[in-house]
Amino acid sequence: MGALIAGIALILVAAVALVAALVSSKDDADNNFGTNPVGGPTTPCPQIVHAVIRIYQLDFAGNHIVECDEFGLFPHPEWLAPRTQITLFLEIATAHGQCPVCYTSGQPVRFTPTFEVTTWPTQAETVQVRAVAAWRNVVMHWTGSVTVSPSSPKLVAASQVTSDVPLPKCVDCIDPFETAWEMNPAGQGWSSAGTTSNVLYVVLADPANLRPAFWTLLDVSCRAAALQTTDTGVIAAVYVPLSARQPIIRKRDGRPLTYWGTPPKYEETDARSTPMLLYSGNGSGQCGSWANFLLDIYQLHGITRGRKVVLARTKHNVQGTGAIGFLVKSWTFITPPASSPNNWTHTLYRQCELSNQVPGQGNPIPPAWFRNHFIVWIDGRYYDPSYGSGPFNSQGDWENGSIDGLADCFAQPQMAGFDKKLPPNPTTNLLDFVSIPE
Amino acid sequence: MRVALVIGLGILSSGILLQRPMENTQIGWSTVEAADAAAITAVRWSNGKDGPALVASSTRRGPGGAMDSTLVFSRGAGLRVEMLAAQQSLPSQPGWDVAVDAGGAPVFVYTDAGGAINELLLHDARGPRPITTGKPFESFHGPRFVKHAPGLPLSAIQDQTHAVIFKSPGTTDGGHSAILDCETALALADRDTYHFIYKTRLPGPPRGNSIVRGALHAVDLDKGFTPRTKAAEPLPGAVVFEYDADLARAGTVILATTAAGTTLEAGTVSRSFNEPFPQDMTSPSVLVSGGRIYVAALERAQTRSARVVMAQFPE
Repeated sequence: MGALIAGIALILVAAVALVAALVSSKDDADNNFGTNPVGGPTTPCPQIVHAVIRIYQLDFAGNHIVECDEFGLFPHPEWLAPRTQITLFLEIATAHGQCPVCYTSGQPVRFTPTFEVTTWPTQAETVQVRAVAAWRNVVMHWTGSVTVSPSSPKLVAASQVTSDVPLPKCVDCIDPFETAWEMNPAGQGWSSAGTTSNVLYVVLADPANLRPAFWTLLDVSCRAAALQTTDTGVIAAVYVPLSARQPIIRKRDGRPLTYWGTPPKYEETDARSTPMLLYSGNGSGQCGSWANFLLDIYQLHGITRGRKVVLARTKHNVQGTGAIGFLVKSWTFITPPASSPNNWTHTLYRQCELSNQVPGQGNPIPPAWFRNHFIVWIDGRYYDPSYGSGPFNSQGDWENGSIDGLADCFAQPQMAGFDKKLPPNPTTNLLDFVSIPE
Repeated sequence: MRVALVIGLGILSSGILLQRPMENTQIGWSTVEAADAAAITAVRWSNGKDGPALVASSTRRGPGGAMDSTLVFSRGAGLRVEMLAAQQSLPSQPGWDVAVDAGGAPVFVYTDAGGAINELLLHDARGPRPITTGKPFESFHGPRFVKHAPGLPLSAIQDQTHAVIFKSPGTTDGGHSAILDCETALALADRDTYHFIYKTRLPGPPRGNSIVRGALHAVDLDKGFTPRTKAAEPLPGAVVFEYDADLARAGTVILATTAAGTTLEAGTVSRSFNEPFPQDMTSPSVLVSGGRIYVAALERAQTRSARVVMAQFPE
């Protein structure tokens, strides 16, 4: 009897143990389901993240570096995302906080784009990039790609890209020149990658004679001559703002450029060349600076046949005592009637009066006489950029349109004569014109 | 042991002598009494028969209106003793220089603005006469007599591009020859050599209206005014506006207004100035005479607080 009971107890214990093992095994199976092959370990599926990038900077290539009006060359890169101002001795905030760009017409626009990575991918992938710019009836595209990996730095640069079409063969001022960027990481689809904005000047031909691409000259000429396709068209168009005596504004500081100052500040006008006009504190220049301003505009567009002309009573007139000047319009020989067209017949100011002064660039009252003067000759005609007068077909036309006679500046009292209205003076040149080779 | 000590001391002392002496004491400017300091446009030292004298330039308006202007040179007490008054063709602030002729009388050279062309006039007791070039319509500025050279040759800048030398200015064969490209220049005669100091332009804002910033260079010229050495930089790294120079026992003395203030370089010694407005200094002038160095400049020129300043000290 006791053996029987013990046997039954053993069977019961074994049954309980068996059941417990089975339950444990089921728990293990439940807990380890999917991880273990037939009870072995398993791994979860990874989440894939694709790169997100935004345009950070553009380094233009094949362009002419713009010179900041004698304050230095604008720096690379021409567009930079964080840039709000450009520091070149003074804070210079361009209209879009970026550097102006200059190309020759008919050339493609090339640049190297650099992107900022805002989301790194889970694995290395190729991100396609493209940009488009559109102005007037021109549409320009660029395509490229950049590789971004989990270990990429924050900034990644693509290879240089070239526009699918060149710039039109005409002068232009594209303001603004905007590129809209898109990215496509690993073929996931296109999305915006930001925009850039610069002012882009297009000159007719390559600047000649290593002339710097001064910002003010670019702005004045490319706006005035926009859409011109020939050098004769450019020559005519760039003179329009000078002829109209519109304010010629120096780009680096917004100061109007003037022909001489106003009295009593005449003596503060010292600029005699384009660089001097651009770096001078007061922005006022003598005729030489304005003649150079126009000639340098021509050269900026590859036009080299302009000439600087100097005029004076005689090309052999030397300096010093008894210097003879010419009276800039408008002087009136009042009394007495001139006894001779070729003599000093009137005292200056008393018998020959300044009735009205022809204004110069940005100045209603430039000096009323000079001993010599610079003007510009091109294609057989004379231009006087200091006053915006012309073009004149001949020296005689310039004299009749610009002066009323001559003055003996150093005589005591100062004398006037050679009334331009008295025959034969309207058809007789009172001055010598001498062309100075550039 | 004693020998080693002596040798060691000798080495030490020679090392001290070989070091460049640096003068830490700033030079203090003294005010020069001037009847009308605000009217003064430039100053220059002149070494006349009575010794060093400061000469000042100004312009004077006449009754004939805005175009009636006279260039005036003055010296003496209050800088009010008029030396020369020259009617100008156009109101302008000409470049000029003054020297003394063989008889100790002052001779001036200055530019006369014509509107387009600046011409050079030599003006002495005989009156003004043009410095002819034989080629009309060449324009000049920045004339400087070559210091210590007989015959008063002078340099100038032609057409804003390069320096030229007039070896015999004012004579019938007063031609000129080119030296090198630069903005401004001056020359010092030193036996058979000319020390030529010149400035080339740097980008950036001018001082005042048109005093261009630049870098200073020095080169030696031979008797024919041809460069015969490589250019050196007497003030390396300095942004220079104006300068003057003379010869001293220690070598060339250069006084320059720079972006960092006025500086005096005498041989290898460099000195600065105690000046309240270092960015407002113009027209530096230096003269070495009788074992002393004379310096002068304008502070806040052509303003109501303008001051003519000077200093002098042993070489």
